[in-house]
Amino acid sequence: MSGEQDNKLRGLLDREQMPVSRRSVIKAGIGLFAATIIGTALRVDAQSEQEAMQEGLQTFNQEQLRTLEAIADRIWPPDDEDAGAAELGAAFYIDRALAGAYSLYDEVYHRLLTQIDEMALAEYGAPFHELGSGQQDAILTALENLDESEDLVAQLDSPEYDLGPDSSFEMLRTHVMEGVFSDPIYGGNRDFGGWRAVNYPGAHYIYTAEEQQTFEPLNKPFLSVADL
Amino acid sequence: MAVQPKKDVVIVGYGAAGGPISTELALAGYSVVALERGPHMTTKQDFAQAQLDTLRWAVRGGLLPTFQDLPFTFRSDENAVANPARYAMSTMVGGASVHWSGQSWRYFEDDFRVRSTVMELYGEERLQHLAEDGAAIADWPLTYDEVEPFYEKVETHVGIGGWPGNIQGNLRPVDPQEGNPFEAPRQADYPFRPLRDNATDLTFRQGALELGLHPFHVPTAITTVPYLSPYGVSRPPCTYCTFCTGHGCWNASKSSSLESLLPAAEATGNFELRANANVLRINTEGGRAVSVEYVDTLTGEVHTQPGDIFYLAAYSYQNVRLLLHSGLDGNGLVGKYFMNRSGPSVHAIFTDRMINGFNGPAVQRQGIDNYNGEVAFEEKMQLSDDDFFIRGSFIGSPSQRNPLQTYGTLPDDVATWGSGFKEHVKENLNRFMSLQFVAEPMPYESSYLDLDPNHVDEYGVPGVRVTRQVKQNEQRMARFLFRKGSEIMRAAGAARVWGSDEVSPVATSTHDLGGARMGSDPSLSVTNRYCQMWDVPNLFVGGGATFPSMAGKNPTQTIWMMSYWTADAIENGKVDLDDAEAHT
Repeated sequence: MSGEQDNKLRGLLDREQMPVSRRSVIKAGIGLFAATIIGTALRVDAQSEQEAMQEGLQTFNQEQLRTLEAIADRIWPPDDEDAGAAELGAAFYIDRALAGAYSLYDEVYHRLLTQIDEMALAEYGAPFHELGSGQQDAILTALENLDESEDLVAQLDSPEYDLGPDSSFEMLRTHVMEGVFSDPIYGGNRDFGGWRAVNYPGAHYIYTAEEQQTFEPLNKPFLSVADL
Repeated sequence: MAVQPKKDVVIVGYGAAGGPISTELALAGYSVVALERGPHMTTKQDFAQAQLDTLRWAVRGGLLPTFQDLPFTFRSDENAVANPARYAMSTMVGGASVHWSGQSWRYFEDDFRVRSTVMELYGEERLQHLAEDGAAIADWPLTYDEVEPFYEKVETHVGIGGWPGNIQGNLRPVDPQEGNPFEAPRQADYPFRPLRDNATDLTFRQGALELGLHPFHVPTAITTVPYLSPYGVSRPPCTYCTFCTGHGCWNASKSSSLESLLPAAEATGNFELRANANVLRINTEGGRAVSVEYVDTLTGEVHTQPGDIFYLAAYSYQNVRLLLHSGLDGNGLVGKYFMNRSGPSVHAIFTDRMINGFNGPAVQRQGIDNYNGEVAFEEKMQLSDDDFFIRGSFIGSPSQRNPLQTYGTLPDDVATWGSGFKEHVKENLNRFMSLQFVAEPMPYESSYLDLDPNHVDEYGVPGVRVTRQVKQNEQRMARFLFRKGSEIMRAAGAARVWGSDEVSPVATSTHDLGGARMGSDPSLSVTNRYCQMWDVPNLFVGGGATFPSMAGKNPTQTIWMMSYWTADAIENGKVDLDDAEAHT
């Protein structure tokens, strides 16, 4: 078996195993309200998985993706009107970026997700994605306030890293927001959900005088460079 | 090592500075070669579609070099080790004129004589804070009247649109509500008008008029009509897309050396452009430049290019780096009197209207010069000794405020992430605007460029190290400008105004000038008034490195102007290529 096939197989196995373990959690018997929340989470997971099957994760495994999606959703949370960063594909955006433009940060991302889970386990006895939103926020706040000596990104030391983000949290926030607001060709901002939230129409060649001089909201269709 | 056929003129770098002189000397019959270290990207192949992408270009800086490619470091403290810094200018055919914003000015008359002006207006006593800080204020060895024809040539030949504010002393002669009434007198109108106003501009204008100021739409190096230049280069009008600063123009409407000047040079048959040609060293013999050594970055081959006249047209940092690496230090003055800008910030939110700041290019902009140069000198005279400063700043209202570029600009009481953050961004992103300040900094004895002792590029050439401080004049000016900018936003009806009046030094402000100062005394300057090096008379320094002062204005039109000025001096024998002191 070639290494590539091996990796593919392992990826498939990971995906198959994950929902099973999740289901067993539900079976263990949890109150109605919690079950509803987990049901929602499952739907998102299923959707993520479907996308992953179609598009293929390039740097993360499913577990890491789930952690990153949970982080993304605390930075740009879902609300009554608009999707959160996870549903917008911000974690996929980061997965893709780490295989390309941000490959320099691939390794530290993997370590960082482990560190965040370790912080969650130490504080609350469960991995990050299983925590409630208040607990997740507390972990992210702790990450934001980490001493430089414990901050994985702050410790990176070479000219290339000096030009990048100063801290782990800053890196996560910047990349998540890129996943929310960049052109959908990069894997985030799904269905223009990031742009829709702020009524930004995207890749337009032309603005008319009327569009430019109004003090009202603009009503232009959302366009990606892929649509041009 | 291959020796290339000798050329009359060798241009090092083909950005803003390289454009005019290449075209003019090729038209005059000189054989000209331009060696550009970056690639030759074109509008059709590289900009037409892919440029409508904020992430790739404006955020990730897709046109910019990496640290490995161009090592670049910064420190404020002369005794500290400099840290790697982000470079902000591309290396490509057309240089930063491809991805600039296009705000294009003539300097004021007194921008060319800063020292004399402030001595006359304020006297030595009022300038104590500058003496304390080691400011090295100087006049240029030329006057506005002498260079005015070359400013006009930039406007017609490169393509600058504007409302005239002063034609031969007639203020606002075309539209009494438009044009900069404080601009230096021009002989002729602009060839076309600037960009239109958008909601951002109308809002700024409202505030400025409310305060009795003189707002105008800034002159823009962007075509607003189908424009046929005197060189015969034709370009279509801007369509007001928002992918401008940091991007190549998809429509060839942004005026640049690439779009406005290269076609004219190539049409002469006397001009050769070599892209991916990274000049490593200037070779001299007996006090004259004889050749440059460059590496073809695609093949790795090293070539020698001999010539009679050499014009350094790389970015100011790279011109200084090349001089120093070649052992040409101009009696120790190369690198000295380096300047770049730091300004305050003012942001505002309007609850009574949408601003939709994302629509339109960055330079679609109203602004004022009421606080630039010494226009506000009577008001400044009234300032206490602790607040008094010289010179000033343009203040304007930029657009191109795309979500990726604005989501992070938040008032102090808004969380930087989470539901409160999201709520704020959703509610206010399109109700938001920021002001632009082009604050004039001072040159200081302790601000300079040199070769970094710790970082070399892959060819062994050390990177540039920037040592720069901001001092009392910059700090006082920033406090004043913050107050004025905030007043304009409140007068325009802003519900909320915030920002900072603190300034700190930066590695690059994309306006990075000085390092090879021109002057009239060979012992105090690197070049004469025609940018000719005193001690290497067939070597000229283009770009911003020769500027003795910076002005409260974007420098590119002056860089183009000076390139025309030097070309004219060479072509018409105003310089002696054997003796830099023998010029007219």
